[in-house]
Amino acid sequence: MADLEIAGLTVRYGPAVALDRLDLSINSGEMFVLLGGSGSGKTTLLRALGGFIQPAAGRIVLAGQDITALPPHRRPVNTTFQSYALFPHMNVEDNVGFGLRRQGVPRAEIARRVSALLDLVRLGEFAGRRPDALSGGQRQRVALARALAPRPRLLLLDEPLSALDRSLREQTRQELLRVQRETGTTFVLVTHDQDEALAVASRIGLLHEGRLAQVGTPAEIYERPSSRFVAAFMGAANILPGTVRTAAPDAVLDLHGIGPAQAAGPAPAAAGSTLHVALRPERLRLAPATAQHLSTPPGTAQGVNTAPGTVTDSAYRGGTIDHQVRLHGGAILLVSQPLADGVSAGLLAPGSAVAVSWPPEACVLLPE
Amino acid sequence: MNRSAVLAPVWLWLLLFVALPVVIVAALSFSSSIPGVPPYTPLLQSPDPANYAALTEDAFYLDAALKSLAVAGVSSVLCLLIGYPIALAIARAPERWRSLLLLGVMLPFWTGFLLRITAWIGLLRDEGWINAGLQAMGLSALRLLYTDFAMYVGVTYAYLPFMILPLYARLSRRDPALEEAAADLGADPWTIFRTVTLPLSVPGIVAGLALVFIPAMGEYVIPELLGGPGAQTIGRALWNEFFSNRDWPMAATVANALLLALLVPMVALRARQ
Repeated sequence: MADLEIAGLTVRYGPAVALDRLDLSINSGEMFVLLGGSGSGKTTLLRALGGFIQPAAGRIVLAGQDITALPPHRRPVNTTFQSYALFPHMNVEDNVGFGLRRQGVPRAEIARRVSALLDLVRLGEFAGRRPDALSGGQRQRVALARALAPRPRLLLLDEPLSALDRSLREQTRQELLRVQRETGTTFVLVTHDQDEALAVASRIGLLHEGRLAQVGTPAEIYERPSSRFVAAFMGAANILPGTVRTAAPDAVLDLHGIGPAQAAGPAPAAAGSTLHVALRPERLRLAPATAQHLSTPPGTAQGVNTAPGTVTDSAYRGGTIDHQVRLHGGAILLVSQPLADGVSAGLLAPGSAVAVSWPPEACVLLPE
Repeated sequence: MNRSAVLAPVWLWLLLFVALPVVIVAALSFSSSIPGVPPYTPLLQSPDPANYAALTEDAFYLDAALKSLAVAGVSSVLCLLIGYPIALAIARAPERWRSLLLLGVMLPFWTGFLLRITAWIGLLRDEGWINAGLQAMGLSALRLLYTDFAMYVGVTYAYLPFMILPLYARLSRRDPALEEAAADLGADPWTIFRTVTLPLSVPGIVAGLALVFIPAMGEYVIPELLGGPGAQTIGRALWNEFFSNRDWPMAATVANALLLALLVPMVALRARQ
C-alpha cells in the first residue's frame, strides 16, 4: 500500500533545477533510502517532504492527504537532522517531550511516553542530562526518540550515521533497523554511502541530477543497474564499451580492448549497436597465465570470457586483495580476489602474467 | 621579551587613570567642604564620615537614587523591547544586507552626543516638529519637552545601540537548524520564538541590559536637557553638588555611593556563576 505519493515534484533554486518532475511512491512501514552524491537533490527532496522548501510544481500526498502546501509544524512528518539539532537548553527528557507538548498531550502521559521512548533507544538513565554531556551516538539516539515521539506518519533521517565513527555506525545502523521494525513507522533515510544504503534499505531510490536514476530493492539496484551511472555509483569499477554481435537468446558481445564475451540473457540493443558492460571486480577470477594464453595474439578469442594480461598493481584490503590488470588487448580491469582464510601468502605480485575470466552471468549489460 | 615588561604600560595606565582617581575620590569623600582653593580640607588629615551620614539622612539623595533606578530600569526594558526585534531582523536578514543594517545602528555615533540630544529638543518642544505635525492633523499640541516622557525617550534613544549590538552578536550565531527542528516537531512561529530563540539569547539580553542600565543609572545630560525640574536623578544631584554648591566632598560621596551600588550586585552575580 502506497503511503507517500510524490508526483511531478519540481524544486528550483533560482535558475538551477534541484528536483526535476520527480515521481515516487513509498510504501507504509518501509525503510526507503534516498541515495545520491552531493548535488543529486536527495537533501532537497527530504527538505521538501519536511516542508522546509516549497516546490515550484508537483504534489506530495501522505496517507491520502495532500501536504504540499502545509508548513512544517502542520505535517505529520518528523525529521532527524544531520547535526541532530538537539535543543542545548533542555535536558534529554524535555528534548524528547518537545513535540508532545506541542500536541497538548497531558503531562502525565508525556512523562510515560518519553520514558518508553528513552527505553526504546536505551537511554533511560540519561533522561536528566543536557545534550552537551552526551556522546555522538547518544545524541543520535535522542534525536531519533525526539522525532518518533509525536508518532509521525513519516520519519525523515538526514545522513543519520555520517557523523559517527565506523565502529559506532554499524551498531547504530542495527539500532535504527530495530526501532523501525518495532515502531512500524515509514522511514525515509538520506545517505551518500552506497554500502549503508544496501545494508538498511527495503528499497533504494538512486538520485542523479534531480531525477531518480533507478528505484528498486538493494539486490535489483546492485545486480541489475539500469544505466552506466547506477552501475558506477554502486561500485562497479569495470565499465567497458562493447558492440553487440548477437542479441538473443543470449547476447554475444565484442568488448573493446578485451575481445568476445558471452553474456547470460538477451542484449537490450540490436546486433551491431554499441553499449556498455559492467564487470564487477569481485566476480572476476584470476589465474596464472598458461603457455597457450601467452602465445595467442592480443584481441583474439581463446575460450569463453577469458583474457590474458599482466598485473600492474596490487592493494591489500584485508578481506580481499585488489589487483589492477592490464589486458593484452589494452583494457585495464580491477579484479578483487577474496583472501581465503585471510592468508595473503603466495599471491600474484605486480608483473605476473595472468588470465582473467568470468562467468556469463557476470556481464551486466547497460542500455545506452 | 619579558611578559611583565609588555604588560607594564597597561598596568601603569590602569594605576594612573583608574585606581588613582578612585582612591582620590574615595579620600575626598571623607574630607569636608571649605571656602577656598581647593574647596576642601586636606585629604586624609581628619577623615570624617559625616558626608555618608548626610547621604542617608537627607531624603533628597535617596529620592534621586530611586529616580535614577526608575529611569535606568524603564529605559533598559524599553531598549530591550525595541532592540530585540531590530536585532533579530538584522540577524535574519540576508548576509549581504547585514553589515549595512548594522552600520545604520551605529551611524548616530558619528555625530556628537550633545548634538543628537539637542535635536530632540527641536522635535519635542512646544512649537517643535511633532507638535506642528499634530496641529496639521487638527489635533491639539502636547507638552512634551521637559517631562519624564521626553527624558525616557531621550535615554532610550541614546542607549538603544548598546542593546542592539550584543543582542545581534548573540542572535547572529544562533543555529537555524534548531528553529527548523522546533517547527518540524509542531511548533508554530511564535512557539519557536518563545521556546527556542528567546531562551537561547538570554546571555545577549543580560549583556544588553547591563550595557544600558549601568550608564543610564548615572546619566546626567539627558535628564538635564530633556527632563522636567522634577527629574532629579543621581547624576544631576552629583553635578549640582560639584558645580552649584561647590561641595566637592559631598559630590565625591554621591559618586562613591553610585559606584558601590552598581559594583556590589555585579560582583555578587559574577561570584554566583
